[in-house]
Amino acid sequence: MHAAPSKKSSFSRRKFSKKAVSFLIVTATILAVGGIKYGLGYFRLGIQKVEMPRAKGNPQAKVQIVEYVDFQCPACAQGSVYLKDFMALHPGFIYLQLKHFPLPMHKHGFLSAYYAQCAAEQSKFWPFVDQVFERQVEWSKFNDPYPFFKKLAQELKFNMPQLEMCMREKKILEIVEREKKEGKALGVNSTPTYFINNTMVVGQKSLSLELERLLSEQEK
Amino acid sequence: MNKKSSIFVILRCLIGGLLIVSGAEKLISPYQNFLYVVQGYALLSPFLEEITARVIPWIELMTGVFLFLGLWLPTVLKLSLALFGSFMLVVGQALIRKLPLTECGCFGEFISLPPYAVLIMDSVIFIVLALLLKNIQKTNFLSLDGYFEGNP
Repeated sequence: MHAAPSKKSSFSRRKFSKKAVSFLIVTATILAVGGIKYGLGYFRLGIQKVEMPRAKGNPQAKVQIVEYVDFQCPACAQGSVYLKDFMALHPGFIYLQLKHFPLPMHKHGFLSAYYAQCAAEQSKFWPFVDQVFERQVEWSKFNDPYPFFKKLAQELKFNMPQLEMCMREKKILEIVEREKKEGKALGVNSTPTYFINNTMVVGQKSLSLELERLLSEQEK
Repeated sequence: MNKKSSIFVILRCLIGGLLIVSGAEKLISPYQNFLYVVQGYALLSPFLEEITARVIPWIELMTGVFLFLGLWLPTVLKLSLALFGSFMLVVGQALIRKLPLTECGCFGEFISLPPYAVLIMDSVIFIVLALLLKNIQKTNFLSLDGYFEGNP
């Protein structure tokens, strides 16, 4: 006749099982997360090149930056000032390309992207973007910023009939939406997000740390 | 299981689920997104910000999983209290210092919540967690802890 298992050994078996199950759960969770990340990364397409009008600097520069931007984003405005100063201090060091990533929380994000893209069609992208960022506080608070953007375009001597036509073109929407989709596929979910030689950094603080690091590497 | 116990179990699973979603979203998305959020609270050195951005999502996810399944509940509940307590401190100091945060960044792109709303939510969850810990017997229903202890 077999002796009934003691309460003590049953308890230790359960305690061991509890630890084993905990270990399995932790392992399964890590593998699940790793698997999803790997899967997403595997299917991720690279960054498509931007046409010249939305790029500036030295195309042969060792530091290639692609920035996903929302023109109503205050952090993007700060980042823009920082990059402008940095590029002036270190000419030829950076090649900067801007891509559209209007955020849903900014009600004029899409409209400003539209105007910026139409400015690019007239090779006035950078003067327009500089003004849009510099005067962001001014136009962000309007319910209807159309008059502001129209006046700005006139100040920058846009071809106004061409601008009006551009604003109605379907291809502008397609460009903005395509770049937003591309950004999302790369894991962008806030602005400004920079890809510095394909390394992702978000925000001006990380941008400045990465640029300082690359600068000191070059100086060695 | 009576009605009171089922409420505790539901609350346990809801908070566990919230932590799972929050942690998983941060882990699946590039860590740089959460690093940007951490930097926004202007509390830590760059090195600690980096560590926080890489470690906190894992703590959230694992805590959420164990809370949901009801495993090592006393420990996990205390850890959850510490987690939400620290969230409250971090968000609270940002509000006091009037830092320019439009949203907390807690749930990535899933939910956009301003910091004051998050502070209220975290406070409520903190209280609920304290109640779950105080009534551990009821929280233990339909849990793996209960199974291993030979309870229903």
